[in-house]
Amino acid sequence: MLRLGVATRILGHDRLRNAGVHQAEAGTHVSLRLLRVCEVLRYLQAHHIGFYRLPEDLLAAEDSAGAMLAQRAAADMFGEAGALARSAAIRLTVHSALSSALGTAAPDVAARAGQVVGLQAALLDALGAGAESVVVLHVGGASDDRAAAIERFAARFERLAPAVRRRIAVEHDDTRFGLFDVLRLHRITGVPVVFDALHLQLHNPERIGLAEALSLALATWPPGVRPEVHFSTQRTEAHMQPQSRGAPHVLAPRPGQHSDYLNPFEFIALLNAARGLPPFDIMLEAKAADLALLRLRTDLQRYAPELASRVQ
Amino acid sequence: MHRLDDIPWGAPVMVCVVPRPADLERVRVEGWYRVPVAHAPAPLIADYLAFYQTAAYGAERWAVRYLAAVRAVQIMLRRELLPDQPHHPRAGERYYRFTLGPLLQLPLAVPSRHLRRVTFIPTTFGQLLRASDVTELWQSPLDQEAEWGDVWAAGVNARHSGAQRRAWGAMPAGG
Repeated sequence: MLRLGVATRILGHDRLRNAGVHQAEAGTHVSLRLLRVCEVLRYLQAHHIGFYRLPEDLLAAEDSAGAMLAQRAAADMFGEAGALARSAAIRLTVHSALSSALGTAAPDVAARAGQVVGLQAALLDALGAGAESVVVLHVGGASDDRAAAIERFAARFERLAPAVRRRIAVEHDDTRFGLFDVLRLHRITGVPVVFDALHLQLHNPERIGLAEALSLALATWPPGVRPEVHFSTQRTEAHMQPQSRGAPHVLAPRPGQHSDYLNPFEFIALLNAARGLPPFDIMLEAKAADLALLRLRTDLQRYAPELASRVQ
Repeated sequence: MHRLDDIPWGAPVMVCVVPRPADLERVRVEGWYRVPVAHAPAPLIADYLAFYQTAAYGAERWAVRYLAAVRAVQIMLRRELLPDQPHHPRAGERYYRFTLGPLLQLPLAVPSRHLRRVTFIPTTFGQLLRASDVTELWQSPLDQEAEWGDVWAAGVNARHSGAQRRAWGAMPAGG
C-alpha cells in the first residue's frame, strides 16, 4: 500500500484552512501551533490520510528545543500531537525552505541552515516520531560549481550532530542539482534521496527514464524505512495579476509551478513505473492540498481501478 | 492584542459557555478557561474565546459580552485545575487549559433571544461585531471569502463579480 500525503495546509475545512502556515512568524505560542497540528491530524485520520508534512516554520528560531520542553504547556502538546500521529499511523515529515542550504558558498547562510535543520530534527524528536520522519533538504549553492556545492554539503553534514544527521534526506531540484548529483551525495554521506517526479521532468540531464530514476532513489533508503517520494504536476493555466486600474495582467505559469489539482494520468504513469519496486509514501504537492488528494483518489477509481487499491 | 480595533475581522473565535459567575470571574482574575478534551469542539481552532453568559448572570444573562485572546494551551487533569474539588466525578478527566489575555468587552452584547442551550459556536471576530443574535454567530460567508482570497491561483477562467467585470470593461466574454 502506497500512502498519499498532504503538504502543510488543509483546505477541506473552514477552521483549518488558515491554520498551520507561518504560525511562528505570527508570534503564536508553540503550544497553540501544536494544538492546530493535533486538529489537522484528526482531520487527516477522518479522511484516512496517513502522511503529513508539518509546516517548516512550526518552530521559530527562538524556540530552542530545551526551552520548549521546559514549558509544561509545550511538552503537553508535543506529547499529545505525537501520540495522535502514532495512534492514527500518520507519518510526519518536514521540508526545509530553499534557504536551508548546506551546500551554499556563504558560511553564514550555511550556519543558519544548520541551526534550522537542527531545530526541525528536534521537533520530530520531541514528537517521538520514528525513523521514517525525515527533514527534506535541497543541496543549495550555485549550479556553475555543483561538485564544490556537493562537497560543502557533505562536509557540513558530517559536522552535524548524529541525531540531526539521521533525520536528513536530500531531494534533487528542477534547475540545478539533478538526480545524479544527489545520488553522488548519497554515495559520500549515506543520506537517502527523495525522488520528485516533476523535478525529473524539468531537469533530467542524463535523460534517464522514470522507472529507473525512481528505483535508483528508492535504493538509497535504509532497510525498514519507507522512502518518501514527491509528486506534483505542472500548472498550465495563467495567473491574473491585479492592477490598480483596469483589467488584470495575464501571466503565464512559471516552469515548475504546481497545478491546483493533479493530473491523474501522470500519476498513473508513476504507479506503473513503481511496479515491482518496494513500497513508498507519496507526498502530493498541489495548491489544492487535501482536496487534490481526495480528487486523485476518485480519479484513480475512475481511470485505473486496478491501481486504486494500491494507494491509500 | 489588548484593543478590539487591533483584532482582524477574520480572526477565529470560539464562543464558550460560562455557566456560573465564578467561571467568568476566574477568566477575568486568573486568566484561564477549561475545555474537556473528550468533549472539545472539532476542530478546536481559535485565536479568541468569547463567553456566553447563562441565566445565572441576572441582568447580563443569555448574551455574549466579553472575549479574550488565547495565549497558550496545556493539558491537565481536572483535579489539578480545581484542587478544591478532588472527588468530582470527572476529577480524573483531561482538560485543555487555555491561558488567556485580559477580558475585552464587545461594544454591543450579542443576545440570545430564543436559543438557550448554547455549547460551543465557532465564529469570527467580524461576525461577533455584526451579529444581532447568537444564532447569527455561525461563520459569515463574508469572512470566509476574505480567507479564501489567496488560496487559489485564479486563472483567466476565474469567476469574478459582475462589478469587477464591469470595471474591467475590456475583458473578453467568458474571461
